[in-house]
Amino acid sequence: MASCFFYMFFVPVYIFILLATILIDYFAAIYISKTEDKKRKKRYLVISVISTCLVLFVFKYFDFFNNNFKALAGFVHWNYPIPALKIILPIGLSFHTFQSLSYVIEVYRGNQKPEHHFGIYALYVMFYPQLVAGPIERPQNLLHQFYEVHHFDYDNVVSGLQQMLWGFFKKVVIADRLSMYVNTVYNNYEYHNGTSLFVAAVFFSFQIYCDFSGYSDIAIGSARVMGFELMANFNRPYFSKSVAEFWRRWHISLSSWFNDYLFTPLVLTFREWGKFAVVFAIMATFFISGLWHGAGWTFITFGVLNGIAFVYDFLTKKIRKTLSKAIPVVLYKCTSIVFTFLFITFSFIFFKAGSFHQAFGIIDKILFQRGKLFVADQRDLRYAYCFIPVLLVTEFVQENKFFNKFSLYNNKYAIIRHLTYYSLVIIILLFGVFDQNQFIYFQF
Amino acid sequence: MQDRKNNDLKKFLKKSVQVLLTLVILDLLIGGIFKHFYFTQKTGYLYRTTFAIDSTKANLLVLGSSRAYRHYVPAIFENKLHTTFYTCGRDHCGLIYNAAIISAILKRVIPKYVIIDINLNELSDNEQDALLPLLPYRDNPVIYRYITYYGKFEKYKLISGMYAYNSTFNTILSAHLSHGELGLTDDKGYVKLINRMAFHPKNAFNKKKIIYSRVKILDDLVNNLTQRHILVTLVISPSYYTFTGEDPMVPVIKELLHKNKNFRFFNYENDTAFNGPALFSSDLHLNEIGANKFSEDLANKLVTNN
Repeated sequence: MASCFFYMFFVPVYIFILLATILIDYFAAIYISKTEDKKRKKRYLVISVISTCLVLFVFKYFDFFNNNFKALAGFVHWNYPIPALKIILPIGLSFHTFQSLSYVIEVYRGNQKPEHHFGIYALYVMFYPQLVAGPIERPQNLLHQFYEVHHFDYDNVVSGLQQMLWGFFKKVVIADRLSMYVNTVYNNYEYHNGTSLFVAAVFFSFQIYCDFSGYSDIAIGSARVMGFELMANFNRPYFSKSVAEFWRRWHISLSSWFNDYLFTPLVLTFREWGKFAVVFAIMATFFISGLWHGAGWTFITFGVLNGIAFVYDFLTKKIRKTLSKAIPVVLYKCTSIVFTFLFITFSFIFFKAGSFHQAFGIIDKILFQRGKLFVADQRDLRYAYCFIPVLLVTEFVQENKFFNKFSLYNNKYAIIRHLTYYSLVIIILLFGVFDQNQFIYFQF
Repeated sequence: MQDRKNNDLKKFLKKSVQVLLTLVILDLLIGGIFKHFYFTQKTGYLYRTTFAIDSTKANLLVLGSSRAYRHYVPAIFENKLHTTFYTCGRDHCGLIYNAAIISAILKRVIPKYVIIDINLNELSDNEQDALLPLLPYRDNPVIYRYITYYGKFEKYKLISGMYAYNSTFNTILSAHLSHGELGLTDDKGYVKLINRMAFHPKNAFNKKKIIYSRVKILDDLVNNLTQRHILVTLVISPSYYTFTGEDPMVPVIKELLHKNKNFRFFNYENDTAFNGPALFSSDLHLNEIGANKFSEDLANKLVTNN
C-alpha cells in the first residue's frame, strides 16, 4: 500500500500502467514454469517481453520513432499521417520495466521459481525505495527478503541512516547546487565561452553522479533501515582507470542487467565470430543503453561513444598493460583516471545537450574559445569548489584500504562519528538547495 | 532474540534522543550566530534588503530584480521629482519577493511613488528561489505570511534556526570583511555597472506564455499599493533585444491599467533610444551610461504624467 501511495503521488492514474506490467509478467512467469515444452516456454517469454516492452515503447519511444519516420517521409515528400502522442512519461517506467523483465527471464532460465503470491510479486516490482530510479533489482536478491521476518537491527538501522544522510548531502549540497551553474550555462550556451562551458561540463559530471548516486544511497539506506538489503548501484566511478571499469562502477544494477540479459547472450550467440562477437555485442549493448537513457539521438550518441571507448579498451588491453609497466604505477593510474573522467565528461555533453546542434556548439567552444569564467552567483562556484573536494577525499579514503582507518563514518571513536553526522546535517541545512529539484534519473 | 531486539531498540532510541538533542542545541546556537552576523551587516545586498524592510523612509521606492538596482539612478529621480529615493531590487527576485518586501515596508511607512520594474518574462517564469531571500525575515509577521503562503513545507523547515540562513554564509562573510569593496557598496540601493557589453546575443529573446497565477500576484500587488493612494508605475526597462510582435504581457498589463486609476505603464522594449552596446553591460543590464540616460527619460515621463 505504501508503495502504491508513493507511486500515485506523482500521476495517480499511471498506477494502471504499472499494474498492467505486473499482471503480464506475473502470469507469464507462472505459465513459463508450468509448461515443460521448451518452445511454449520461449513463446510465453517472448509474449511477456514484447508486451512489457510495448508499454515502454508507447510511453517512451513512440514519439521519437514517429518523429524520425515523419522526417524521413518529408525527404520523399510523403505526407506522413500519424501524429505524435505527446504523453507524459510515467515516472521510473524504464526501471520497473527492466526489473519486471529480469524476473520473467530468470524464471525462464530456471534460476528463479515463479512467485505465486500476487501481492509479493507486485511488491517486488514496486518496492517503493527503489521504484522510481532503481537499483534495478534481481528476483534472487529481493523476492525472498519479502518472506523473511525483519527484526529491529541496530547496526542495520544506523548504517541505513548513515547512507541516507550521505545521499542527502550529495543530492542537495552538491548536485542541486551544481545544477544552478550547469543549467544557466547549458541553457544559454551561445552566450558562454569555452572556459565556462568546460567548467559546466565538468560540473555536470559531478552533478549527475551526486544526483543519481545520492538517490541510490537514500533508496538503499531507507530499505536497510527496514531490514532489506538492495544491491549497490555505484562504486566510486570517477576513480575508474578505463571506460570499461567505469561501467562496472556506474549504475551497476543497469550495467549488470545489460551484461546478463543482452551482452552475454549476444556474445554466446555470435561466438563463432571471435573478437568481433564481443565488439558487436558491446556496440549493440551500448546503443540500447543509450536509448534506455532517453528517446533521442543525443542519448544514443552518448551510448555509442561509450561503446567505442569500451571497444578500444577491449582491443588495446594487452598494449596498455605493456605500456603501464614502462611508466611509474602512480603516474599511470592518475593519468588513466583523469583521461577516463575527461572522456566520460565529454560523452555527458551529449547526454545533457538537448540537440546535436547544442552538443557540437558546446564542444566547438570548449576546444576553440577561451575566455573569462562566467560567474552568475559567486555562491554556486564557491560551494562547488568547497564540496566537490569533500566528496573526492571521502571517496579516496573509501577507495584505499590503507586510509580506511581514517574513515569518519565508521571511525572507532563515537565522538568522531557523531561529529560527522552533526557536520553533515549542518552543511545540508546551511548550504543545501531546497527548491524541490527532481532527481535527474526520475525522467527515465 | 526478543531480548536482543528490545536492547537494540532501547539503544537506538537512547542514541536518537541524544543526537536529536545535540542537533537542536547546535541548531539554536549556529542559527543565533548567523542571525547576529546577518543583521549586523553594513554593506552588501543582504544588508540592502534588511535596510529596505526595516529602515527606508524614501518616498519613491523601486521594486524588482537586478535590473531594478542597476537601472535607476537615485540622484536623477530625486532631483527631477524632488523626493527621496530607494531601490529594493535584488538579483533573481520577482513579484513574490517584491510583494512581500513592500507589504512589510507598508506596515511602517507609506511611500508616495512605487516603481515596479518587471522582467521580460515576469508573468511567465515561476520564481524558483523566491522564498529563500525572505527566510531570514521570518520573525516579521508580514514576511512570514508570504513564506508560508507560497512555500508548502516552509513552515516546518523554518523550525530549524539554521535553515533560515541557508546559502548566506559567504555573503555574510564578504560583507563583514569587505570594508566597502566595489560591487557591495551602493547609493540608495543603486549599484552601477561600468563595463561595456562584450558579447552580442545571436538568438532572439524567447517570450513565453503567460501564467495566470503570476498575473494574479501582480494584480494583488498593484491593488495593495493603489488602494493606499500610492502612484504605481510599472516599467519594462530597456534590454539589448529587439522584439517582433506584441509582447504577451502588454495586453494583460493594459487590462490592469483600466482597473486602476493610480497606475501607469512604460514599456522600453524596442525603444530605439536604447540601441547599441555602448549603453549596456550585458544583454539585460544597462551600464552606468545607459542607466543615466534611462533614468533621465523615465524621470521626465513621471514628471510630465504627475
